[in-house]
Amino acid sequence: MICVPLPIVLDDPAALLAHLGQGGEVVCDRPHTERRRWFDSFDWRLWRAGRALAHDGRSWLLVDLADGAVVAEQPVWSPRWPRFSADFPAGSPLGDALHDLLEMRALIRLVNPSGEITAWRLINDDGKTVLAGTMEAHTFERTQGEGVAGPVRWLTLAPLRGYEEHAERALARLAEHGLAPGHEPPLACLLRAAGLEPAGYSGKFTAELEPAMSAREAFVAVSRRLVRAMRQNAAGVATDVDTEFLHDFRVAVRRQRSALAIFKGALPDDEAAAFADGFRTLGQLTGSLRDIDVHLLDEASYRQLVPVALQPGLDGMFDRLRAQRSDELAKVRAGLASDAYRNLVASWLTCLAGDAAGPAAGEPVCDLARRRLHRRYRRLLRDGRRIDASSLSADLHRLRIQGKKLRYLLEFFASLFDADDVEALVGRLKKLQDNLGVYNDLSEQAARLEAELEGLAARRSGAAVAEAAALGGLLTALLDERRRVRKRFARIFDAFAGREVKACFARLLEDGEEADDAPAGGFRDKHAAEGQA
Amino acid sequence: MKTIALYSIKGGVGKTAVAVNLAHAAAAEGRRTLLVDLDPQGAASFYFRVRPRAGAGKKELLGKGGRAERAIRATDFAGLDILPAHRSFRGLERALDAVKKPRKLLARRLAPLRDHHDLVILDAPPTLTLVAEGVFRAADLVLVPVIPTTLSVRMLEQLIAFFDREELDAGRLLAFFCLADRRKALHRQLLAELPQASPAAFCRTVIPNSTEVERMGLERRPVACFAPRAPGTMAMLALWREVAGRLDGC
Repeated sequence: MICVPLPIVLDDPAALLAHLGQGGEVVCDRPHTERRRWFDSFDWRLWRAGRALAHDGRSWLLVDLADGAVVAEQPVWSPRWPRFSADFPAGSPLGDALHDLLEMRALIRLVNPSGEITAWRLINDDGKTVLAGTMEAHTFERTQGEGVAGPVRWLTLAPLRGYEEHAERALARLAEHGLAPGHEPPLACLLRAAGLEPAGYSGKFTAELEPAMSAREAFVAVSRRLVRAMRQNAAGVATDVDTEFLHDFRVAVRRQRSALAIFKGALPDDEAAAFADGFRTLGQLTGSLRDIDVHLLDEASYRQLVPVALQPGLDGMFDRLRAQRSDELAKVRAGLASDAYRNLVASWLTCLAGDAAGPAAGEPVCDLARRRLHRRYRRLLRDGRRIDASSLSADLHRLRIQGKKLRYLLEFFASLFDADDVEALVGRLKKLQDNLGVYNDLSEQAARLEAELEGLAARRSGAAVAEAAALGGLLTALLDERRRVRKRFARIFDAFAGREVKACFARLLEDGEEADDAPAGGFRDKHAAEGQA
Repeated sequence: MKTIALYSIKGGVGKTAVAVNLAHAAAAEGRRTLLVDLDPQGAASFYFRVRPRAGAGKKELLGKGGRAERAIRATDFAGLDILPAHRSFRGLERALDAVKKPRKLLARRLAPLRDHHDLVILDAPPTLTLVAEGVFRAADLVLVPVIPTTLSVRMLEQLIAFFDREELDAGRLLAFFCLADRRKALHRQLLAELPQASPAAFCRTVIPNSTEVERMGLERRPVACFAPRAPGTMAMLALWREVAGRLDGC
């Protein structure tokens, strides 16, 4: 389907259509009204997958953005709006498709336009339809209540197989009027008119740095992006839309703390220290709630790890977690509404807008970037090589943090280097990070379960026994999985520490010298193959 | 992809009207359908108001390096395309004669269409020649419209004899009554007796003689579009349901 955007003011739609059909007859159906409410997650997951979700009063429709075709449909089954894909009826194809795309993110209402749609056909002398399409005009109420916006207009053309030349001729006639097919789905025009930017938010970090920037300038550019991310997510945290607002909020805070360390010297030391403290507190405020969220998100998969007969034994733990969540959420809400938080953000923005400079403020950002990347990479390799069968979980946890810091560096400075090189390195690092991340998650989960078991020891009821059995089963399964993950570390790290990645790094930094002076390949973690947990 | 052929030794038995309405019914229930109009009279193409593209003749359909897809055009109905008859189709027989393995050629040429179509309906010309053989070989089911006359049994016997001679599976043949007029005593009698005497299987559905089907030549669209609840239309739908049931068992 071809979509041609039209100007808001269109004097004579009928004349335009008639002109389209020069040489043939244009037949129009009576216009019909269509009212749809569009939805997506906060981070535009459906949009990025080339899909959109609409509710038209009778059904939910998952449509393909390119041609508007309905990919899956679900008649309305409940008067309540579904918030998550899990709210859709079990086994519903639309629900399943949404689950794959959205995962744990909630559906958010975007825009609710009312469209007047006129279907038209161009027919030839035999009375055969040789081209069909629609003429559409959509209006909607602005969310700010400033009256009605639009109409957003467009014309669609559906070329017919075997009659393609008619579509080509119609497009040529439209071009005479200065009208051309758009490069975006028509829904994009609607969203923009409503003040929304499709795919405008992403959890990924990007910053456009110029090689000529000073360290302070680069720091300000990076920090502004991070503060924006924090503020964008804070509202969703407070209203508890879904778990990922908190996740993205915390990631932004973590990145901000990392930036303060990386760009040390860009700001006066005492100011930097004070803000570092403020952001650390913010991280601590939100830590427990995030831990609980992660455990609750894993609830379904945890239950499956334990024999069916034991599963009810897990109810106690999850019910306690849910109760704890309410408490923690209340604390976080209070924290985000507090003066302390508001002052932190306000004073941070003021600091960024000011010009108080530290001892290293003027360093060219490229030098800083190279220096930091070099050092972080070497450190990661050195610490990684030290991992062997006797290494503790704490050692692997530390290595994971090292890896995170390197990743933040690559993210912050990506725009200064070759995009392909950066992408390749981030990809390699990701494999290592995934292994360390899963290991870490399993360690934390196991530790939590051990704590639960200890708590049970005091109670001697039948319920406690059932719970202990279930927790024991779960603990065993998790430690088993962790052993498997641990075994894979050596191979994954070797791949990261090998020649290829080194060469990539050297290319990135344009060093000419090797980024690392230890021999490539072959490390001491051979004994880990025996599977020390 | 399944293939149905509509075939009759004589013309004027309502074969093409049935092909058009079955194709429309199949597409309406969601099967991506292609109607191939092999009859140089081009009645099916006329009903759908489709002319052949320039150059989309027998070479495109049968020739080496020809691609049948290039000849296909959309009808006004979603999911229903047509490969319209071209006047060069009068020469299909001769063209097949000149080829080494003429009998399977049509089936081979149609095979690539399975990616884009679930059902192909062949409207075959009324001949007993290489073209007909090609159609019989390409089809999973060969539907034979039969007017309720005593000569019809003979016609079916001739057809089966042809199948046997050419070593074709006569189990593919499925006859059905067409242009039946229950006001006539003779028709009523034959409708009851013929299926027992018939060497070929018969459908339960009977297509009656009806004004709506007669009007198709004026309306130039399937009967369901302009006479949705008329007896002729309902019969076409019932026939499609019966045929679909057999097809899905093939």
